[in-house]
Amino acid sequence: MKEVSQEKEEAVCKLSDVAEIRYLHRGNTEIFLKNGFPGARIQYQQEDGSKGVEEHSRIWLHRAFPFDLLEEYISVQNKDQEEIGLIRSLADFDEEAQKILCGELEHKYYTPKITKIVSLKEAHGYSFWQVESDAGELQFTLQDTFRSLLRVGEDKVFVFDNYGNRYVIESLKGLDRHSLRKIELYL
Amino acid sequence: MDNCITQIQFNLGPDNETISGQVEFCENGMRVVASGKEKWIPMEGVRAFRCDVGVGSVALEVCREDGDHLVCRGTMDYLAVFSAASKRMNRFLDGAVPTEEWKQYKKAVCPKCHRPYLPDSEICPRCTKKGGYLRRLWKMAKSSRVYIYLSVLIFIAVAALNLALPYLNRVLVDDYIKAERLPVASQYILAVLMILLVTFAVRLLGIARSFAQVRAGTKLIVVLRQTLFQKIEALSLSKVSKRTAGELMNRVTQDSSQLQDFFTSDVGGLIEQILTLFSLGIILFVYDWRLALMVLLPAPLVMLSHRLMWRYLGPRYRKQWWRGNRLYETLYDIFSGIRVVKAFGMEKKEMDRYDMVNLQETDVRIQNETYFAVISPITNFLMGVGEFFLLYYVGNQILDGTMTLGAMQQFSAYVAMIYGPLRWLSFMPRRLARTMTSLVRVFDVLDEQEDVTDRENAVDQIIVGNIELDNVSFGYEDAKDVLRKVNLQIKPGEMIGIVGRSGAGKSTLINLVMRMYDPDEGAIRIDGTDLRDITQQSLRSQIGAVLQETFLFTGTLLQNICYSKPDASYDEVITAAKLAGVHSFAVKLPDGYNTLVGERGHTLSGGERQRVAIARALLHNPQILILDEATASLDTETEKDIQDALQKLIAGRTTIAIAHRLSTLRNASRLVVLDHGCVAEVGTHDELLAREGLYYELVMAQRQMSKMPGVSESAAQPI
Repeated sequence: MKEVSQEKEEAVCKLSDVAEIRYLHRGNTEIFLKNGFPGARIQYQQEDGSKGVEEHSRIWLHRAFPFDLLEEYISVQNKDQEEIGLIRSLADFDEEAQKILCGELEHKYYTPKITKIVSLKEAHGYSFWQVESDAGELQFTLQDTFRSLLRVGEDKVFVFDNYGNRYVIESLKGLDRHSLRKIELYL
Repeated sequence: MDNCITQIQFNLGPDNETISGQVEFCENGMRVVASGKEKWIPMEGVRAFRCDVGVGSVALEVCREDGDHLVCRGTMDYLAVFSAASKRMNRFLDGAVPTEEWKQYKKAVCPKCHRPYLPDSEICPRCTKKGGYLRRLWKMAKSSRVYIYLSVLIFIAVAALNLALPYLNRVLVDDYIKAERLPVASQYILAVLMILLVTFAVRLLGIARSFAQVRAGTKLIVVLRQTLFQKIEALSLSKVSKRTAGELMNRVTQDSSQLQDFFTSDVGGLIEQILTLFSLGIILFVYDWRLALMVLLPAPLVMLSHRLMWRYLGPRYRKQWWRGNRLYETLYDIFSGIRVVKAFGMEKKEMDRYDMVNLQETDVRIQNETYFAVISPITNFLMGVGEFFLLYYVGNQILDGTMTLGAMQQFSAYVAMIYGPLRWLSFMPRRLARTMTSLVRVFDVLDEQEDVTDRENAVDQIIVGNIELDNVSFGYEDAKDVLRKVNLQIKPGEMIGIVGRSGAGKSTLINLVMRMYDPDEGAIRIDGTDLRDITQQSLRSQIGAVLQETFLFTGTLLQNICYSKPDASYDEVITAAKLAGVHSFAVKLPDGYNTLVGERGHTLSGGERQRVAIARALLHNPQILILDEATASLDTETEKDIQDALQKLIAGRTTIAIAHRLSTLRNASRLVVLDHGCVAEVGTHDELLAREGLYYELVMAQRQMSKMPGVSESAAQPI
């Protein structure tokens, strides 16, 4: 039994060796802001052992697990959507850089948080929502209500409207009784 | 303001706050106005506009020498607006002259209810008038109208006869059974016969009614399905691929039959019920208004309670339906992936997954059945309350001697009858809503603009094979141009190989030549004629294509090969099959060329399917041949065989071929290297190698691969 687990561990080691993922953190990467967009300066080891620096005047961030992990496993890409590196966690950066990265993520993944469902009506195959959110009162339309709701875990629900806008209910338990009753039929 | 080219609105501020802003694009810069502040971004040094599509928001940016700059941001409903503006502005930068049309910008929200329009349309799902649709449907029902009228007439007759029955009963009871004087036997028999006759007539009319309904319905549904099917086939690929195959099938089959149901039974039923209701009401009032009031007073209550019950139960049943659907999907998923399940030993896990979904479904089902079991007796009781009042009132009258037993019987029958229409009518809004949904969906397809259409003076043309791409730009619906200013001349009989990284626009170029789409800018000409001036029918009949994914229709091998030329002789089929390498495996199958293939038939391997597709193209004998990764799924040896066959086919025909495996293109007269939608290099294999550009890199990368141990033969082909 012990042998097997050891063997397994070796296999895992090999996998990560082969995958060659470049993790970015405060030790090898400097994040800066240019024209309001984030950029990065990354140190890397050259083949002869000396250190080189590559500079990306603008980087694009992409959440690898946008529904599960909001601040972890962020793919850093260039304008051709090629991955430059992977951020395991925003906590691997200092506060200044975190602020820049967070700001960029919040821009790209603009997701108002629904705090109250004022009205939810269904007609002609669409459902019409009127909600209160941290971005104020919003109205939107879902095309296929059942398929437009994604439940993550027990308590969190993502809502996708017919344009691809996203909204989130952070906690079903935190909703008032009326709101909960309205959405409950679709869960 | 005079030099304003176009303008847009936006709704997101720098800190994600909701704002209402506006951008005016002028010749020398952009004026961004938001929350009372104004910003000016000069046009100087701007190289391009870009729509950066995020996941929950979209940004319009300009690329300048000193990097990218943000112009404005919006939620996803602004994507279409932003992308239109950025396309226009890029065209402006390329030297196009802005037109008056550019100044008009699309609104994203309905001016009436301020909800966003449906994507790519100006239809507000809430405010669109539905009456117009009904009228249009009625127009389409031309051929079945006679039967619709007929069935309505029968409905009326049935309603009238149904009203007569209780009256006859009363006559029977009062005049003969309870009569003070002895009835005349012949009259008595006559009354019984009348009742018999009326009952018989009702049954007979019922048969006639179903006959008329079936006729009306089938005629309507045939017309509807035909129209829908024709429309879908006429739509361009981009419009069709916006919807899934399942969705389109739903519209052709289910939505149209929903409409059929409505027109054949609901319309007639509605008339019958309303007539019954009114005539009953009148009869009751004329006879005794107090009696009528007593019966009718609970009526609104009945309707209300019914409505309430369904408003409450309706969504719950929908939830149950959805859970049932999910149960079915899960099962389908597990069974189709059973090999994977077994390979990873996940039987237990999948069982748990199924159990969970099953439990969830049962939970709702039990809940709903309980609700129904409690609620429906209550509403039924409420509906019957009127009858109790009646019983009391009428009973008193009978005791007083002011009413006869027969009259009471007649009345009880009428009262029982009057609740039928009420119940039926309370369901009507639901049925109407469902019909409207179908109606909107059907007309949504019918109203779709056909974007790839033959011009009015389009001609059938015999193609020699000269292809010219003149400054062609094209982008799919999002903002990015997939092809930018592509210029290319192909001489008759030339074989052009198109290479480039994935996403470089290779397949798009081929789609444009086949006219699956029309270019946004520039023109494609065949033998000097614009593609739009050649009828699609004549163009496609002279183009043969072997595509990356081959689709075999359900049918025999023979039918699939003959698809492009149904009247081919057996000799021709065998020749094509032999050349494509189909013959060798076809004669090994027990049923030979008559083997059933496709979804439910004999499953062919990827390579075999590909060979059938090649045979299809060979039989078609086209002037222009398009090979999109035609031999990619074949092993090297078979590929070589087929390449040889293709070589014979290619001779004398203009050929455009895409291949990742560069060795496939070794016979090409010229190679075109695409990079990010632009033509990067053109030349022969040797010329391009000597240039040491992009093509050289691609070749070197593949050679590198072939040196790697463990890489399959196929990639190791010398180039």
